[in-house]
Amino acid sequence: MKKFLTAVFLFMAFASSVRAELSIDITGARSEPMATALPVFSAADKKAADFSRKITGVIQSDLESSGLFRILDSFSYLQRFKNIDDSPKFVDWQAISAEALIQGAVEYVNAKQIKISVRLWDVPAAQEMYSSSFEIDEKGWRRVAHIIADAVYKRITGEEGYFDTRIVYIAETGTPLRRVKRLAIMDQDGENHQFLTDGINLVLTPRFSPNMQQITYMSYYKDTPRVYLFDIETGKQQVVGDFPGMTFAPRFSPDGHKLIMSMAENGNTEIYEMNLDTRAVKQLTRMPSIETSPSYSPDGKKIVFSSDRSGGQQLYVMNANGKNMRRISFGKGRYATPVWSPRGDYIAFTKMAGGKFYIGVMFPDGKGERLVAEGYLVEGPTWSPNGRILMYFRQEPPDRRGIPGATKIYAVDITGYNERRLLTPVDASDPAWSPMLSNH
Amino acid sequence: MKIRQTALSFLRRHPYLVKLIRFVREHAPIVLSVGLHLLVVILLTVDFISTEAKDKVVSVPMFVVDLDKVKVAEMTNLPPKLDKTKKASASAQKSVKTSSYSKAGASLSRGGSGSGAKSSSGAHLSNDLDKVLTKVTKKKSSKTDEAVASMLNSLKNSGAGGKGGNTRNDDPFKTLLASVDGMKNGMGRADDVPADVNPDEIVTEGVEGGSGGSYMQELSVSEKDLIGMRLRECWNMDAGVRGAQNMIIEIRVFLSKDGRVKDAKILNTKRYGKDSAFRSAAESARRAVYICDRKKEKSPFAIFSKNYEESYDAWKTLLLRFNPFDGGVG
Repeated sequence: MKKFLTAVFLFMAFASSVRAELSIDITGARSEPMATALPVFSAADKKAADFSRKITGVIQSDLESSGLFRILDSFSYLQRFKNIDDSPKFVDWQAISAEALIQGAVEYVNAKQIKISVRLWDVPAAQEMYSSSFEIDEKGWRRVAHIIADAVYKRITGEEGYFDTRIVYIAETGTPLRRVKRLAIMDQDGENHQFLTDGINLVLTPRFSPNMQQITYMSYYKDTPRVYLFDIETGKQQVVGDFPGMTFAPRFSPDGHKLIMSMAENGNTEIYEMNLDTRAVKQLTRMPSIETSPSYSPDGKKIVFSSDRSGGQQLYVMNANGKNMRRISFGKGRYATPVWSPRGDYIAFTKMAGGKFYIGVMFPDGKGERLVAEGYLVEGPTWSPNGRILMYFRQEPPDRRGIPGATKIYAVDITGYNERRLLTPVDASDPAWSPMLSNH
Repeated sequence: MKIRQTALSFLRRHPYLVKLIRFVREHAPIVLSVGLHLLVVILLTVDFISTEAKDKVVSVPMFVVDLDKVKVAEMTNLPPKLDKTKKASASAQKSVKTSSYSKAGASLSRGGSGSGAKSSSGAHLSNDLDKVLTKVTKKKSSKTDEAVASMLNSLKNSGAGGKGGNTRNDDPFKTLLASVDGMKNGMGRADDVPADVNPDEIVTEGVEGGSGGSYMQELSVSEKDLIGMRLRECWNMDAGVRGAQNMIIEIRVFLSKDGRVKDAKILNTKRYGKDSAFRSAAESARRAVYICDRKKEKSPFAIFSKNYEESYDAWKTLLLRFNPFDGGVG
């Protein structure tokens, strides 16, 4: 009994002490790029120093391009690290208002292999947040830099990164009347650029497969638009299926085993699904109107597409088997090219209203529509694999002589901030973002 | 015996009760634990209701005077004649003085609540004093003197009644008696204020060693807002993070006496371990605490050490609730 009473007393004391604590509410935060210190990685010798400079440079440009990090000027750094085991003097880093500190070191383990070690510190709390090391062939330094930037991004933002990814796009050359459109691929920061097709046939709307091995796109075969599959490693391409009409707007299912696309026959366009293993084809929509631009939800259970059944072009969602269709967009204007975000929370689209084009996002139930970019012509959004950045292309208005403006690829954060241009050697349109390379 | 028999027959008629008792005996630890949890929940619920009810009323800070610590200042708003008597009594012993007569009664009743006898005499004192005041102000006849005299007697008696303890406790009463004495002569006159004292000084220095704003109940809404605002300025969080609209991050801050952060602990440990977006938001909130702490005199926590140094126990730990969603991107 005594024990019981003591327990009751303790509980009461505890309860009253909890109540008595002073509490303060803080609502809303600033949202600024995080002040990050990134001293050049320390190097064991001169040979390693060359790599350490290059690696640090790539990490810096990756992080800064996200718009979420601001790398502090290295002249202000008070501490110089000799190696990876050198502990940070937090007072020195707090003095320059750093919120995060990335410490790294590069050394040769043998003639060709380098070892890169990295540690991430929470400066105000004086705590280590992350540490890791990588051993790779020196030729792979660029990818490791992207992987490190991804790790830092993930640890600080809580979301997957997107730096270790690639972009396919349509490279455009030639005069307006004789336009040459070639398939091209590059790293997300524009490096390692490479043309994949020769440009004899027109290529449009390329999309990555989730396994990274294939790209699907629309090209012309005997003057008829057809959906193709392209193998990145072998460079071989093949026509998908034996359809009576023209096929276009293809996309892979999230598991990579199915292809979804539109087929137009006798003036009516419907959505079809093809199993890539069995090559079996299934028609998903049956309406007198035009149904096109299908895109799977990341769980593969739903499909968003555009349709003009209600007069104007609007967005609709249906189950993956074609059942349970409902309209989700109700705004003024026309909606096209919907794409479901890989993290599932948004659907991006192109909108045409009042003589202008917009790139926007809305929740899958159609609520919360927000426009993140606008222009004379902005079109074809594609998501970064973490669902945080949208890439699209923009065409400038024609000049006084009527010559069409240049087309360029841009990226913007879903908050609508940090729009920036992706540098390409020639005009570029129809970008498609790859999944994370390191997951494959 | 009879009771036992009735109990047994009652139990026979209600076999489920036997089962219940058996269950309780077999699962004693669980039952005890569930019972205690229920008790805590009930206690908290009752508490919440009572605190909520209090919030609707304008909160009046508790007025407590520690008689041992109270000194009579040179400046006083007691009547001039009392000043002399006061000096006589105060020179011999410690005495009490407050800013107004009615408060004197209240403070005495609280201050003297150490023993039953004292507190009751204090209560009498305040009641009686009120009567005296009304009588004195309403009719200034010679009868007032009689009433006051009889009152004084009763006061003296009650003082004597509580005398069983130590003599020190008599001091406040004596002072009060003196002040009533002074009232008798000085009440109602315009020149209550001593001639040599600047009236402004009375306002500021009338009470010395009194309540002086050292109780946490007095942390004003504006001060709370100011602390929240300063922390918000220190808090940098990515607005596009997934699920920002339903995150509340609770951080317990441990402060030292000089208002510096000794430690800051994220409380939502379960979600912190599972949800990486939440973890990053929680860490940004913790950084805000440390960044603010290093702002020295502009630190939100400096308000406590500056204005509420005496009541350190009330602010040595704080619960901060960070809510990133301010109607922005979600």
